[in-house]
Amino acid sequence: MVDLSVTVGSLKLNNPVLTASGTFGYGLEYVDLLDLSKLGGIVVKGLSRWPIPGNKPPRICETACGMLNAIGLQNIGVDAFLDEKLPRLADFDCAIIANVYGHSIEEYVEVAQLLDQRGAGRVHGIELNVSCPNVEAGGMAFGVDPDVVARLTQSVRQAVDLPLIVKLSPQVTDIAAIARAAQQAGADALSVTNTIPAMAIDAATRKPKLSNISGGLSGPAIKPVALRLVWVVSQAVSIPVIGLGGIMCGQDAAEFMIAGASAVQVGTATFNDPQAPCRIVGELEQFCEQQGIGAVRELTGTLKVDG
Amino acid sequence: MISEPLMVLSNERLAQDLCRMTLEAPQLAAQARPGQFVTVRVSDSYDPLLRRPLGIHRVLESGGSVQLLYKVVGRGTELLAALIPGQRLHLLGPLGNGFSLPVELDSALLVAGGIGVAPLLFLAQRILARPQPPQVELFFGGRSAQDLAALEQFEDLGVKITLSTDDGSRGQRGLITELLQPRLAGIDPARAKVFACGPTPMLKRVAQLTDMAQIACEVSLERQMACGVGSCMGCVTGVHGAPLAREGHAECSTAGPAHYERVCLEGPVFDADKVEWSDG
Repeated sequence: MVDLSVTVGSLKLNNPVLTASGTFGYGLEYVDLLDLSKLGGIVVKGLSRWPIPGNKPPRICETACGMLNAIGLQNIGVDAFLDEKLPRLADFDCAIIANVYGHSIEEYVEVAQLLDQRGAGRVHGIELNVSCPNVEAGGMAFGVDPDVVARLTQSVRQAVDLPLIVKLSPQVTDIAAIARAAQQAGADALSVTNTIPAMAIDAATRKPKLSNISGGLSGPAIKPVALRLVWVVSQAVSIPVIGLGGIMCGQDAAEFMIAGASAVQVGTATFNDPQAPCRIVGELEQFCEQQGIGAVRELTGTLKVDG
Repeated sequence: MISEPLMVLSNERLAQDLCRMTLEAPQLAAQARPGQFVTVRVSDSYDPLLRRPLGIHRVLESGGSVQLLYKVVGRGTELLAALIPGQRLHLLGPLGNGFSLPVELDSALLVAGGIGVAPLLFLAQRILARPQPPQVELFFGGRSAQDLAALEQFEDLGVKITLSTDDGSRGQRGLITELLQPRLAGIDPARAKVFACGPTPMLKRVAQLTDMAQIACEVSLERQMACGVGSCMGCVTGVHGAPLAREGHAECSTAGPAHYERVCLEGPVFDADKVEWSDG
């Protein structure tokens, strides 16, 4: 029997597999397909203070071993989440982490406070989205500057008691510097990483395949990039790292943990296989059994580097 | 909803790029409504990565099987076409909402463009299974005769068929909407309904014509999809109607469609007058 429980800062998870924000809706879309209680946690679709209509379609396209998206953070707003979605999520025995997005530091703080106060006991953590590549009015600008990440993290940290996770952008010159800035400002954990800015073109029409022109690449195509970033970040900070980027199976999850992650998020895999998050929990357990590992947390940060 | 590997019973190539697959799927056959769709995983590898959405073409309730009609357009559908009886295909469905049938209906006009005919056979099946079925007509257009699939099945059901092709190889040369227009003038708008599936320009024109004729119309939209269950917001279409709450949010106050709805969940069938046709 493998002990699958992990802790991410003060966040206690039944197992290390979470669903990634933007790929699992508000969780309820999957109640007919998965037992949500078998997941370590659900990171819900990014929430803003007010509903956001999102980008014009087409918003997604397939690429080799991956996909591009430019959803533009379409969401129902934090009030509707708290009123309509969260009460039903409380039926399940898994952590609910609210991904938060704002146009300004004040807006991030306001959304986080609402989740902390009105979602008390039912929201178990907050993940700050400082790295959405698809929104001009914020997103990326927050994620690329260590000082801005620090100010944002600190502002939210002072406003809420919930475990605070900062989701880092891959598109920075020195991700370690951003990671350290978030840690110093009070982040409890870091999610590494978001989608990678990318584009696809239809040669026949000479048009971009997304109306936003570019979007974020996800799926197995980005796994090697994400894996390295998890390793780099986990070397740079002492707070836990949650790894994500193209995790499709239990062995992928194990690789991210070996690289330094305490937990993982499964995103695009769910589009290929709606049962992927639960399947990955089972495969990870099986991997540990085969390797003679008694507790999955023992995998974290065990990369063997010669010399 | 089912999410499982189903046995392929047959997989025939009807024309150069048209295939029809029959799957052993008693649960799906029992649950499915016309206009709903399924997504299928075309490969065990990750390339292609995304599942393919396919309309439910026909339900063979006696045998508990379901047929999918699909066009071979790329590597994903080529892989589907290569499946042989006895192999299994991972299928998720039924998904989305279906067509809605008014109680009082004298005339059902089905309008298909190319592979858009796929969900309309199932619809015709169900309409004609009603105790006092209305008259069902099919207006079906394609680029050439090869695109006009499932005609025999519609004929067997007793559906009156009007055809057109771009090249004149079958039916009248030209667009099917040109043949639909005069027909709409001859029916009681209060007791008729149009159901359309096909390329967006065709659907847009059908929406215009039915709006002018004051006839209820539902369209089934096709979009690139990722999740198929409403979680990713990838497949949206702009719709009129109640806008999002926009209080205090400058970004949301710009002109454009009232809001976006998910083709996979709120659709793929929409009232034609609800769809924002100027939007991609």
